[in-house]
Amino acid sequence: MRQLGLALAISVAALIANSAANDIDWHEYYEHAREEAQRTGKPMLIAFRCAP
Amino acid sequence: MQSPLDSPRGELLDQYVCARITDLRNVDIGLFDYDRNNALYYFIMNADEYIYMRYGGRDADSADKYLDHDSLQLALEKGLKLHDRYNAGELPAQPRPESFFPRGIASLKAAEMDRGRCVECHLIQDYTLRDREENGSLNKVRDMYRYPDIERIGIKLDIAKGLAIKSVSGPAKDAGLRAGDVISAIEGVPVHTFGDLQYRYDKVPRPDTKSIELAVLRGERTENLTVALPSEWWWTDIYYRFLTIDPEYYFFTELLSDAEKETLKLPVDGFAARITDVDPAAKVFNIHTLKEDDIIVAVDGVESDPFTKSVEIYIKLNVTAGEPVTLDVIRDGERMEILLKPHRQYFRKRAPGK
Repeated sequence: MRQLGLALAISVAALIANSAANDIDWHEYYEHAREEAQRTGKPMLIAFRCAP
Repeated sequence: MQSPLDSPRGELLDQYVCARITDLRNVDIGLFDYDRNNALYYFIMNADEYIYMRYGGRDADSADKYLDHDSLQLALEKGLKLHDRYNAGELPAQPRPESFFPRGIASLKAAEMDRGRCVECHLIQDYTLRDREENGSLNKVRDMYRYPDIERIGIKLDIAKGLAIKSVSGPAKDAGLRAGDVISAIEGVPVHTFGDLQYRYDKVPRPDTKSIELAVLRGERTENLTVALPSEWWWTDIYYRFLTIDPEYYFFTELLSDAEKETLKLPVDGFAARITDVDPAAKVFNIHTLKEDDIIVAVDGVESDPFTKSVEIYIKLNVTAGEPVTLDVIRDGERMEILLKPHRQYFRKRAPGK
């Protein structure tokens, strides 16, 4: 039973890790994004998400 | 918007630095200028703060009308190309807009920021207009009826395809636009997305502008076309904006026909209109005593206006919420005066003491 629990935990952790690696990183602050854009030379996508 | 890295849109997003901002407290709203009543809006730009394009936009019917996975993907692809052209020195100079921060809006600072509340996008617009109303600088036509609707001039877009036109009617059709054309510039300014188009269309001076120039890609060629603007081209249904300064009057009308006006000896160019429906709230809030089939002839003695033939628009533009006006009304053939005491629109977060 303990082995089954451990296997389940490892599977969930792997799923989470895979999901995290497979997601886009979104900065919460514009200045942080700009610093990264200055460093990498990438363009920026700035999203404003608010209640309409 | 879910975009796993192994999806086509995810692969595009991976070539960008992305930020998602929900609180405008410390954001330079002079740089990030857009319609604040959008739930989601994007800027594609670079670290030099050169804005390649805006993406987003809405109308009165729907908050997400112009948000679409395919058109976002198109915008991201165009953004990368423009970024390459910028780095190659091929894009024209773009003056950086003057910085302005939310704390510069006095009523917003007092009512929200000083209380530690989140500065949501729509609050920028709400409090800016409140300040203008209070200091007497509010110009309703310019300040309240923002971001005109291109469908009002007969342009329906194939939204998934960005600025590709799906169908045309009215002024757009008369100007020679066709389904399949792709809008590429307005008033000489290149546009890449609906967000760009709506932003630039909003900059067209009102109310006196009579036409706009649109460039469209038609196959390999660019066509420059002049679209005649109808009267009130700038008018939009702003109910969804919850602007407290828009008077709420709780009735609906239809314009009388010219024949009816002549029969009643009313000016043909006037805005005489028949009441088609009265909201019960009018009685509850003691707004007016109008009834269905009443005919409004004049507002404070004014029977016509060069801006509009709609008595409702006339009231929205010329009557201040909370201040009574006298309506000249014909009821059952008898002329009478009825007092109208329009309400303020509901405002979600009132300033202290308001």
